[in-house]
Amino acid sequence: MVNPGLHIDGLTGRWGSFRLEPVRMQVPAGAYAVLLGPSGSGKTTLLELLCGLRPPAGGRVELGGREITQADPAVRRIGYVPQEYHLFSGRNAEWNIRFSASMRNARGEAIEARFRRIVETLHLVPFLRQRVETLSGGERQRVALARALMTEPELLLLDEPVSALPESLRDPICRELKDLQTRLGVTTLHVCHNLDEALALGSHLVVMDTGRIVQEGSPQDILDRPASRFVAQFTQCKNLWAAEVRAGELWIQDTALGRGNWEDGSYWAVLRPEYAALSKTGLPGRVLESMRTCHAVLTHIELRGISLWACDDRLRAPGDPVGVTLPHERMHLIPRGA
Amino acid sequence: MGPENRVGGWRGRAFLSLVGASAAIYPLALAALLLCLAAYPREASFFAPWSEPAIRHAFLLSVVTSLAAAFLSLALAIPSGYVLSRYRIPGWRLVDILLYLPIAVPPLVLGVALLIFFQTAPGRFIEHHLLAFTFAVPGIILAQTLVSAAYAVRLCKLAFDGVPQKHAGVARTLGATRWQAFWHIELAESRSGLVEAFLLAWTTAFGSFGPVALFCGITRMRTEILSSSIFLEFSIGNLDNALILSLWMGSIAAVALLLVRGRTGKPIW
Repeated sequence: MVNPGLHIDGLTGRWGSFRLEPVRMQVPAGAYAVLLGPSGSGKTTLLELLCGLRPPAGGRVELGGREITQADPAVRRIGYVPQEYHLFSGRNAEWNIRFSASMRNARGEAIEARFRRIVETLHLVPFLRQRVETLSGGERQRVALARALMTEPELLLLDEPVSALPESLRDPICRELKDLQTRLGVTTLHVCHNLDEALALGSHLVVMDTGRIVQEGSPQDILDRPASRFVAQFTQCKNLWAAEVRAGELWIQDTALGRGNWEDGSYWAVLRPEYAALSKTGLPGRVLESMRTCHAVLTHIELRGISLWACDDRLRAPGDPVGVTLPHERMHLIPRGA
Repeated sequence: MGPENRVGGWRGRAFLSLVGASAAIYPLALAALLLCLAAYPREASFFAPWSEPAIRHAFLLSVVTSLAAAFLSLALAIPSGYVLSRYRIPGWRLVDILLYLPIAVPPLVLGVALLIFFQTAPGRFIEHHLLAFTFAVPGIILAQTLVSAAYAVRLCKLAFDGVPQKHAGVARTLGATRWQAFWHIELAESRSGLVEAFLLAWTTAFGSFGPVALFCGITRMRTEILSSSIFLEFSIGNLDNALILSLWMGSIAAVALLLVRGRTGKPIW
């Protein structure tokens, strides 16, 4: 039988003024899903519900076909790496990593082999005797991960695992995490609020806002077809315009941008900068500014009163004329109010 | 920018000097008092009171009852401190105030309250059928516990406040039961605070006088404890013995502080 992974159906909760709206979500077995959202959107709360650290008000959670909604945290087989890691202080790394085995009185060859495999994979051997307070951020993160992996989890929950690390360490550790997950094949739900981190890691993205899941899908889906203005803004889409469709024609401000298979109405029009093609032909625009970012050159263009960002192959001088082509098939319209 | 606003300018130095001088007042006053006590001219030697059987009995009784009271206080304070630290039960503010009262009210009031309680029907039942407290050794322990537990509760709460609640939660996701998480994580991680609580409870119990004297009396070779001895020696005009016993009490407390705080790794000085 195929392992169905994590299945959440209508999970709700309420704590003080915060309310978690019914969450429906599916993370296939072996997938690396990323739960993305701004601070205070309920990501950590959802993880705590999944671990059993908070009681749900309603709904159902299944993991690998087992219902675990009301199960004790100790028997859920969920490995949890909380934000700031929460290592057990006053103890060394080995004591922390062996904690789950010692609580279950588990001994023997299999446990030792698992322990050795995990500490070797995570390059923790030199630090085993060190007290956790003396470890660096990266080492602490690996100890927390090793501690969670010792439980042989069916699901690994990582709550902002790299946010406490220096910027320079985040990329390599994210790559290590992804590599490790691929090797172990454990279903993973990773929480973060950084889009680059989410795109680098996730095969499945879930976007959350004010206690509700607002969209889930592949990274490409979420970037190209945001379900709401919030998702478009949160995924840093620079081209987001108030638009109207009249008689099948798309209007932004007073400029008609062509016809498409759209119903008449008010929309938010979204076009990622990489799909706006710059050439000598196309609609005539004027360069406002041009800037270099880590990944591309971005050019800000004024096009018949519309402010537009496009990916470019070179820096341009302000005031330069430029032709812009806006492909209709790449234009995504979000009904206003969505 | 004037010189007074620069790093290390006179404004900064003035602030540090003022704070430093103010901070020194209290420890200096305490040191001066102890010095006066030690330097006061006396004829008897430092070990003279120990030749008296009544003083030796009072000392032993003080040690035994104060240790028993400290253990009892900790046994009461750990659950109370834990609940106050972790949960917001209905009426917790009232409970919090109630637990603070033994610190706020004069200790004599507790002695009076104990005497009154053991005149009521439940009190008389306990006295007749379970254990006699009034004017008896168990009463000393009871009175000392009532005073010292209030301090122990405060310190236990602070100790548990210092252990993130999430540690126990993480332990549970790692397979620990609720009890295992409490024992191996919450209690273990707060142990230095709990040792402090025990120590404070013990020193408070060791030095308590008012409620013990009122509730159990000061009967030589029976309910006289070391603090009562100081009072007795003073009241019969034996100033030397009163002074020496005061110094002994201070020294014992200081040595205990040194031993325990040194062992828990916190700075001694």
